[in-house]
Parts: sequence; structure tokens; C-alpha cells
Amino acid sequence: MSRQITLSKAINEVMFEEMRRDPSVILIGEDVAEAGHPFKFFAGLVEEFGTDRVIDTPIAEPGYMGIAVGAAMTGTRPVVDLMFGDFLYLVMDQLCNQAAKAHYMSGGKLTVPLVVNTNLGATRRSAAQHSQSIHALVAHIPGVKVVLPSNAHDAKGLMKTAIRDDNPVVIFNDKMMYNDKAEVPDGELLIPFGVANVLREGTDITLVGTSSMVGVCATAAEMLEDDGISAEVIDPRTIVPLDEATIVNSVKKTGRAIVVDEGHQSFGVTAEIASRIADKAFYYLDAPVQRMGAMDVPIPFSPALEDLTVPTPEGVADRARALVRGEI
Amino acid sequence: MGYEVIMPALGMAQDTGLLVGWLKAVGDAVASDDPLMEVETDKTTMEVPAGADGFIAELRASVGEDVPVGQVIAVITAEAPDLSAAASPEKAPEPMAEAPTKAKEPSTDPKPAPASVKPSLDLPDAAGRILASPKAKRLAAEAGLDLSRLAETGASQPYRAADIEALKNLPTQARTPDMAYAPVASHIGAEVAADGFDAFVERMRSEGGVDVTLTQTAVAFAAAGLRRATGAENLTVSAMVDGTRMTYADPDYLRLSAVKGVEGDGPSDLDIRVLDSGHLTSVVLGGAIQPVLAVSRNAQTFHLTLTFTEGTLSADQAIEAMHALTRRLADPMLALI
Amino acid sequence: MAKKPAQTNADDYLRMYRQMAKIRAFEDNANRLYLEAKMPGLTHMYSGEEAVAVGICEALGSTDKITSTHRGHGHCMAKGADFKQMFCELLGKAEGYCRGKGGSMHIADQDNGNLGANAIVGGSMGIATGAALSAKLRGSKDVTVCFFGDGATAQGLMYEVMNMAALWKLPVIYACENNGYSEYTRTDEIAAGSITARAEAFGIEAHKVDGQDVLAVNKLTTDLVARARKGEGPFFIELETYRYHGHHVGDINREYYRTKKEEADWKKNRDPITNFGKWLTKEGIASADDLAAMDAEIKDEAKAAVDYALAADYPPEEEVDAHVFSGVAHARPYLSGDAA
Repeated sequence: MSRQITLSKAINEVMFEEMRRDPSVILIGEDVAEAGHPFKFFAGLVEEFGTDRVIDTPIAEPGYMGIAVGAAMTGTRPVVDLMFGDFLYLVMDQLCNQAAKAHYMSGGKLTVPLVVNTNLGATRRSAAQHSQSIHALVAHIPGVKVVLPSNAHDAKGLMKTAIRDDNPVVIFNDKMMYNDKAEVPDGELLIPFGVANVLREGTDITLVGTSSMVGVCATAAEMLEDDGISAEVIDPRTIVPLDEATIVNSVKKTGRAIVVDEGHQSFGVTAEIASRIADKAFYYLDAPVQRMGAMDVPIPFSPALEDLTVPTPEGVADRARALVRGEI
Repeated sequence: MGYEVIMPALGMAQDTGLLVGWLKAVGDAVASDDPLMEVETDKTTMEVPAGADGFIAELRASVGEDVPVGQVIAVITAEAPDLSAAASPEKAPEPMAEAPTKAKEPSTDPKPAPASVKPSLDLPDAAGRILASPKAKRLAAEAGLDLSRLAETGASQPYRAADIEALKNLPTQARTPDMAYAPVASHIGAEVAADGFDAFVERMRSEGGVDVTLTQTAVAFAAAGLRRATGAENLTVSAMVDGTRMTYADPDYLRLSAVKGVEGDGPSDLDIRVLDSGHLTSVVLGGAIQPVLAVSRNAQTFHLTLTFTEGTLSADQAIEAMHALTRRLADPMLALI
Repeated sequence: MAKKPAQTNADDYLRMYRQMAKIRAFEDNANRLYLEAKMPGLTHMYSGEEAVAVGICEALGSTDKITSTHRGHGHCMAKGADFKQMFCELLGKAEGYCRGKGGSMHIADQDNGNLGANAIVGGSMGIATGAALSAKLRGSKDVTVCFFGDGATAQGLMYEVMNMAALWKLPVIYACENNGYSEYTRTDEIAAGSITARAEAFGIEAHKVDGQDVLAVNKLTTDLVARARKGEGPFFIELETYRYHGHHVGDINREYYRTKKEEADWKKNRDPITNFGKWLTKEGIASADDLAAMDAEIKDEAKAAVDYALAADYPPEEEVDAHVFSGVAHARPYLSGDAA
């Protein structure tokens, strides 16, 4: 059965279903037990699974990340909650030097099946240390998979796949999307990694959006329809691995592409995807590939400034019109 | 009024210059030696200096425009112009240096996209290149179409996939564009027995007391042949004599012994190379603007080669000229009678 | 599983001697391989600290876990590794414990419970604590020993994980090998206060023991391991010991931070193998000839393993992008769509 639930509820369902299915799944992080997390997506878990498996930690991100790595190496499947994606900077050694490399450094002997559940996204008026989208940093590290759900449905299906994966997986949900509802199946839903979702087919331009920017691209596509411009919207859903073929084939069809991602524009996800398009679809490009990311500034607090830093549907539509009209 | 910059004549036989780009904008200060614009002519592009110190007051030509030589295209004044008044109504050429910044700033430009239907991008490095999207280039190549033909129609670059349709609809053309830039030379060869010429020289010496050279003979007879073939009223022939370039005006109207010529680099209708002092038996000389006649001698035979390009002589004219020349050279006495 | 207390059995004493001698022989050969430029990279010698690794690991069973350090050959060998695979790993050969991908600083031997050496000082403290958490959650009786040096006590991670280990009563033993030097600096120049007091601040029972006395180390550890299995952990041990070499094999000229006289004194008077050998002889467990024969046998075994490793094959090139992800044969096509 399928019904409308929020993204928070989808995460909650995943945890209940996976912890019931597999006793090795544990949840570890700050305020995940009785508090159920500030965003409430872990509500009720500790009551069913107890404090052995739903583990409140001190405010010590490197410490519990390291503990999760060791627990993952020795027979458990930890889901580590990082309350804000910005805290990834605190755990970089444990995530990137330890978790990401253990399998390789040990010649395949050690595995680290852990999931980091965290978030990205600005415009919540949370200022520079609680608003960042730093998934590109993680995607840069070989050995970690990076998942960017854009709706409750995908959040459920991707998180279930992540928990069953034998590698470190970092899931970034858009923190502005926790209360957004979508049609989500009750019970089992597994979405494989590396399979993009084509939200909308089009012939004039390809809009590749990730996470929070998928909705932005979809809205932009509707605006473009009024101008007679047919936009194809692609949500890669995971950037490691990346469904390069779907993106490249779309651009081969449309000849134009804009890549939109909420990470800072320079040296980030937009650059990577744009370069792959240029690499694989060069002779099909009828205009330069465009990138739209977060402005390369720390995220400011003032709403008047913060809103300037993030791509908007209007901005994407403007850029798309300019591309289609040959103005770029 | 300030200093008027004109479209300069940069090559031979140049009527117009293609303005590739402005290197300064209205209001900019310039020094006399500062490059002001890039002009393309004869398939080369050169930077043209401003020619005067001051400020750019006006730019009267647009990038991509073919401007007649001598036409005023810019004005430089001693005082900085009043830009608020000088805003050009229709032609507002962008300075090349600013062109790249026209790319939109990322993300949140609140202004709507300009509704222009015919965008024209300022492309600073267009000189000598056809700019087209990778897709347009691929489609053209697959269809066997030449994008340079689109350029000839004046369609604005870069070309996109949609322009390929226009290219497909262009009428088929007679000549390959590249031919104009790399003309193919034609050659006509001939052999003439030398005994008639030798007897003539001996007879002139013994009977007339004059020495007639092969060069004099060739210059005169070739001019006569060329005149017969082309009907030209005035003919100038050039030849190298002892390392010096000599030119001969209407030599076929003179007595052979009077064919002396003058030193000079002026244009000629035919250049003659007499190679009778060595062992060369034939030459093919290419690349020259005017036809070249090479004359060499091997024992009792003259070898003649006329090299020419379409545009200077037609094949028929060349053949006729060679016929006339060889007939005379075979029996000079008869020709003079 | 846990062995019987070692000191009740002469075979166990001889095994401890053998294990220490094997570590010394391994390091002597590794040092020579470095000096002869036959080993890629460099390595950190465990020589002088053998009683720590052997005293502790002889108190552990094969499913108990350890995490190791950049100075980790002794831990690996003490936990049950063999010469051949270790030398192969040191030389980057395919038959190494990590198929040549880890090298000296990342030897892992999961079959014997070694979760890996770590090139980040203090980097494995979280892993050790997590392994203990995992054991507790799964109801296994395994204990984890976290080896680290005095230098690692400066890392914040230690305090974070000791806090959680104490809160959750985890079966983990933090074994601080205090060899007196934090890389090229005397420890008392970088560590304020008492090392054991750091653990005690979290309510963790802390002990200090002579790390050159294998029996003392083994006796203490055996006791703590048993208590940890019963849920009385965590524990902390500071083991006073000494490294004979510099920070790494290339650290030859080190008189600016340590005198030769001091080094000579430790080697002459406090060598863990020599002193244990004397004790074995005195107790009548082995004669000097027995021990000499054992030493010779171990040297031959090490030499044969070195020769084997030198002649062994490097990993095939196609393994370069293997083991990036579990379940993915080759990472490059998986990540880029390029079939390399």
C-alpha cells in the first residue's frame, strides 16, 4: 500500500523496518534515543529496540564516528546520525582515513558497512555552520558512496539500500525537505544506487539536479514549458556511484545541459557532472554546459543575503532560456 | 573634430577590410601605438594601431562588418567624450576585452533573460575560424557540408545545430572555397629543335654584325605569343639577366638586338627564366602571381615550360601563346620576315 | 578463546619467549631490508617493546580484537601472524596480508583479530572502542585491546572514546605503550600531568606496569581481560617501555633528543628477551643452549621468509582498483563508466 508521508516519516519507517529485519543494525548519534532526534525521525525507536541498539552519544562526533567504524568492522551495521552535515568536518579522519580506506588497505579483508545519516541545504536561516552542502567533499574520497535523496519516496528506498550495503554510505537529505510529503510504499522499497530518476522527459535541454535542486529544476521545467521549451529533468539520486549513462544520453538528445547542485559551485558536483557531459557528449553539445551551484561564499544569516546564494527556479529557467536561444 | 581612423589598405588589391574586433571601447584612452582593432584581409588578421593619442570618441563600424578601404571607422579626440550623450543608438560595438564577462553570473541573476531573438555573441577569437557548437560541427561533417559557406552568407556565429538546416538549403556551389586560397598551377611543356635558332644567331653575327642572345629572343617571342593569345595592348615581360631582374615593355615591338630592358621590380605579365648555362632540362615553377616561362637547352633541344594559374591566363590562351612562341623559336628567321 | 593463564604452563613461557624472539628477528630483518634499499618506503621498529605486545596478546584469544599503530609489527606477530605474509606485505607483494595494499603501517590480519595498524596517531582508538561496543551488543565475550603510544594521549579522540567506553562499560583495554618519546620529542615535554590520571578522570581503572617484564604484563592483562569479559571494563594500562631504534628506520642521528648512553643502558639492563631468557634458565624451564637453538631456528625461519618474500610476485596491475568497495570488483568502471 502506498500513502503520502513526510521524508522524516520515511526515515523513521526505514529504521523500524531495517532494525526489525536485521538485529545487527544499530543507531548511534546525538539525541537519537528518547529525544528521537531534533527532527523527530527516530521517534519511537528506543522504545522498541532499547538503548543497546539506539545509542545516545555525548557530543563527540569524531568519537562516535570512530566507534561506529570499529563496530561496523566487527559484525554490526551502524547507522550514524550526524545532526548537521556541517559536522562532517569534525569526523573527516574517521570517515575518510579510516572507514573509507579500511577495505582497500586491508586488501579486502575488513569491511565497514556503516551509514551516515546527515543533511545539507541552506535557506533555513541557520547561518554558516549549519547550512552547508558539503557532499562533494565526501564524494571526492574513494571508498565512500554518496546518496542524495530528493523526496520521501527515494529517501526510503535509498536508505534501505544503504543499510544493506557493505560499504560506508553517506546520505544527505535536504533539511528543508524533512516535512515534505510524497507517495511512499508501505514496507519494502529498495532503490539501487547508480540509477538516476528521469522526472520529466524533454527535447530542448537537460536539467540535472541533485537533492534540494531537483525540485528547483522541476519547477524551472514547468516555467520553461510556458515558453515552449521542453526540458528533461534528471535526478541522479546517488553521485557515488553516478548514473553517467542516463545523463549523457539525455544530453546527446537535447544538446544542452544545466547542472544544478546546492554545494558550492567551484570544484564541486556541478563541475564533475559537467565535465563528464563534456567528455562523453561533446559532439552532441549545441551550447556550453552550464553549472549552477551555491555561491562561493559562506552561507550568510540574513535572509536578504542567504537567498541570493542558492540557485532558484527562476534563475535556472532564465539560464535555460538563454541557452536555448543561443545567448550563451 | 578629432582624428579620423580609416580602414587601411593592408594588402595588394584590397577593397575592403573585415573588422574582426575592436580592442578599445568608446571613452577609452588610447596612445598612438595602441592596437585599436583587428582587421582581416587576404586571410590574415592584423592588429591596427590607433594612430593618434587621445580618447575614443566614436566607433563607427561593427564587428563582422566588411568596411571599404579609406572609410572612417573611428574618431579619436583629445578630450574624453561625454558618454551620456554619445550612447550609440544602433551600433554599439562591444570592446573585445569585455566580451567574456557577458557570460551570466552564476545562480541568482534576478533579471529575466533578454528576449532577443537574434543573439549575437561577441567572440573575441573568431579571427580566421569558423565557430560552431560541437554538435553543429558533427552534423555538418556527417552531412558533408562546409560550415564556411554559412560564414559567406553572413550568418552570425557560433553556428548551432539549427543552422545546419540553413546550410543544407544553400544552393550548391561551383568551386570549392579553398581553391581561392591555394590555387593549383597548370603547366604546358614544349620541345623545340635548336638548330633553327643556332643558324639564326650565326647568320645575324656574320651578316648583320650583331649578337643576339637566347634571352632577347625568348623575351621578344614570348611577348609576341602572349599578345597574340590575349590581345593585350601593353605587355611587360620580366627576366633575370646575370642575377638582375630586368623588365621589358612591349619587347616584341623591338628589333631583337634592341631588346635590352631596364632594371626594376615592377609588375610583369610574364616572367622568363632562361636556364641555358647549366644542365637543367626542365623546371616547374609554382607559386608566382604571374605566368612563368622557363627555357632550358639540352644539346640540340630547347625545353620550354609555361606555368600559370587560372585567373592569370586561361588554358586556351596559354596554349595559343606557347604555339606562337615555339613556332617562332623553331625558325626565328621566318618569324622576323 | 581465552587461554589458560600463561604462567601455569612452561610451554606458554617458552611460547612467550619464542614470540618475542620472532618479533625481534622480524624487525632485525625489516631494518636490514630498509638499509639495503630492498623495502619500499620506511618502517617503525618495535624492537625493545616486545614484552608489551607478547604479554598482552598471550592473554588474548584469537577472536579477541586488537587495534595497532604505525609501530605495529610486534602487535601483528604477537596476535598470531606469520613471517611470510608479513614480509610479503612489507615488500608490497601479492601474498601479503593486505595483498600489498597496506604495507608496514596498515597490516591487518582479521583472521587473528587484528583490525589493522593505523598511520594516524591515535586513529584507531575509535575503532577499538567500537569493536568493544559491537562485542557487547552481539553478546560475544570478546575483548578488544587498543594499542597506542604515549604520543597519542595528546589526541582528543582518546578522551571522547574513553568517556563513552566508561559510560557504556565496554570490554576494551587501552594499552598505552609509553616508550618515552613522542616521535622526536621527549614525552614529558608534550604530556602534562599523569597519563593514568587521564583515564581515571573518566572513572576508568588504570594500571602502570613494567613493559619490559613480559610476565608482569601478561599477569596484569590476563586479570583485566577476564574482568572485561564479565563487563567490568574498560581498563587502562600504561606500559613503561623503550624503543631501541629511532622513530622510524631512517631516524639514525637522534642524539639531539636521546643519548646513546640511555639507549645502551636499556639494551644492557632492561632487554625484555634477554631478561626473560635468564629467568627461564634460572627457573630450569629451558637451558641457555635450548634458547640459543630456538633463536637460531627463528633466525633461519625469518631468513627463509625474507627470501621467499623477495622472490614473490607483486600484485597484478588489475588489482589497483580492486577492494575500493566491497562487492565491486573494479572501482574505476563502477565510478566513472569508463572501462579503464
